[in-house]
Amino acid sequence: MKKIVKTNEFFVAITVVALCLFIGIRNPVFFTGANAVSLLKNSVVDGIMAFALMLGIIAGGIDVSFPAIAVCSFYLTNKLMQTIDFQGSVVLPILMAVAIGTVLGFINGVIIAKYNLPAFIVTLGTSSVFHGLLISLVGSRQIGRLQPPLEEMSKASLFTVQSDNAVSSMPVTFIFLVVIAVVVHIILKYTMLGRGIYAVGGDRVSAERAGFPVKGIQVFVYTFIGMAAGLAGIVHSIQARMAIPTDLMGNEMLIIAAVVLGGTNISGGSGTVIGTALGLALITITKNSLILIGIPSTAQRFVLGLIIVAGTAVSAYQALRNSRKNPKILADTDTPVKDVEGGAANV
Amino acid sequence: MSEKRQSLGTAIKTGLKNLSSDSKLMRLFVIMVGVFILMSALRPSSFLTISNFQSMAFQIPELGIYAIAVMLAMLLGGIDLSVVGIGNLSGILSCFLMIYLEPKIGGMPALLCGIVLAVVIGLACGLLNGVLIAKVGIPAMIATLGSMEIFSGLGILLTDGAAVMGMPEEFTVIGNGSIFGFPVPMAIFIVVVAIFTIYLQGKQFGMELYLLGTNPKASRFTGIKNDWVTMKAHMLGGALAAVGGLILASHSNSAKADYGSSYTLQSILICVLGGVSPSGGFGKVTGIVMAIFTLQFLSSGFNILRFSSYQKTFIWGAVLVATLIINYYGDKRAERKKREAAKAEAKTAQ
Repeated sequence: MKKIVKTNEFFVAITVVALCLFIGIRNPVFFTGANAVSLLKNSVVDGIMAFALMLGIIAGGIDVSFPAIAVCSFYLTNKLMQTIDFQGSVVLPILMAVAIGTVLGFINGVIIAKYNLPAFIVTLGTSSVFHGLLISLVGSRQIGRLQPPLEEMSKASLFTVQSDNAVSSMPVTFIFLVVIAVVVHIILKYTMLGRGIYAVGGDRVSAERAGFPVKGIQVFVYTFIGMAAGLAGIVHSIQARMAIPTDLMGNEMLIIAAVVLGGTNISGGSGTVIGTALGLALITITKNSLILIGIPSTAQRFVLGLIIVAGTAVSAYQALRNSRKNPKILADTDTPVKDVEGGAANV
Repeated sequence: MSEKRQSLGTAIKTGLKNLSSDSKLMRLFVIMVGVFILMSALRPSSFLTISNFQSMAFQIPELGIYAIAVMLAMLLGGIDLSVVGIGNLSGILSCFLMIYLEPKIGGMPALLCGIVLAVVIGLACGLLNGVLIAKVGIPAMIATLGSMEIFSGLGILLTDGAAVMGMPEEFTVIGNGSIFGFPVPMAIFIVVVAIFTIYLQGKQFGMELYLLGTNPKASRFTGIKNDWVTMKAHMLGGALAAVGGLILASHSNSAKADYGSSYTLQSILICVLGGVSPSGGFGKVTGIVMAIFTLQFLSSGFNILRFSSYQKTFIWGAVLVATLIINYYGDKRAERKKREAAKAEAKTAQ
């Protein structure tokens, strides 16, 4: 029990519950089934990207280009489907979007791993490259109608919940979110690759000496993020029933915030699927439900900023205090401790 | 004889060191001149005109000042994503103050009060960043990402997302005025560049900043107050961002919460292009100045060639990634040269 109370997830869970209670008491609409389903529906796209991004952050990296990758995937796919007037199975466009995402993610991974460059700045650059190239070459006109197979998928629902005066149906695309969450969980928990991801993020040098293929793991992580971004992109366009090439851009910070709020250490080495799910819940509720308690939409960004700072402050401050209290670990939080038993001990 | 050899060795060493540290700047200088010549050759009738140079002189300062603010954070090994937010927030607040004060005390005093307020707000925002990073221990990227949302969010909240207008006429001088034909914003930029060149290269604070960025552990053992240096750097960055925000607001004679949102990417690009190391400890203001001129030549050239804003975004990104890769090979070569020099030296010593 003590162990559970001490974990990061516990703090986030309490925050989420408190936020829910606060909103729910002020406005009972929040506690209806329809609202719950609509919140879940709204978290599908962000969630797919958040779980994948978490892998990157655990491995000590970061990616800010995934919205651009998502846009490239769904816009190119829809454009092509429209051009050839596609009528076949919906599997093909989804696979195509995923493939485009995978290729773009692979490019990120190779640049970052091969040249040993800071991931944040590289992906900042590739984000502009991907998006700029897409719009310059393919165009910026929005596609208002999807092809029939995709259109059909957008109407399919798993189940429908009806409360007083609102009806919400769970889209089929929710399955993708669950699948990604499960895959990420399995990778992290039960595979050597997952161990490697934690190891690279925890201490790169040690991971290398322990025999983990550090560069390979890096390439995998960014490729996986790209793949998930492709999937999230096509899901987004299915849910929105259109393809606008400026959608999703600027979302990256919010999703990074969701992952970090969920207790994933931004400098790598720790993080769990459950934590990220909780962080995602926090962000989704803030984004969609503040309006229910009368906070105007103009205050949304301000409140989000406060949540990001407050949410990361608790764990960061704990880590900082621990490292300063314990003279053995004297290094700054951003430099990995390499010689714990070394000369630092006598200060 | 051996003494002579040794002094020769150290001379070679320092000579090589100077060359390698300057070769990055030298390369940048060549690129800058190359871009200038290219653009001049492509469209001499519209690029090599006084009006084009004047418009460039009005565009460089805002971005250049933001870039120096980001550079201060990058020298620490961090990053500052909130400069544009700080600039807009302090611009908005100082515009409110100026509008409020103008009928009471006249335009010029109101302008001075507005400038002071903007700088104070900038310092306060920077202090918040510094405290979050140094005292609370949030990594710079996340801290400034959160504070960016807070600053921009406050700006939106205060203005309902609309532009603030109706400032005293004197306000436009900052962004659009000229003294004897020389643009005021350019003069401000030159002053900022001069101050920070001296401050970073000659003074104690600069030394502390570079040492902290190179090795935080070593700097703490040297007796440097790491926390305080971090906070000071971010406060200076905040004040700079406020100046940038004022110029930006004055340029369009209005303040808005989402002005210059593309400047975050561009100021980081300028830093990297100008040779500031993203892992901290290396970078010079001279590099930033050359990088911003290079980018401005490119940007004006593209405008003349009628490139769309998306084509420009693509090129910024490509230039950023390419610079990183070129620097990687440049560093590798410098390292190899150093090793060879060391070997040669060992041979002569024998």
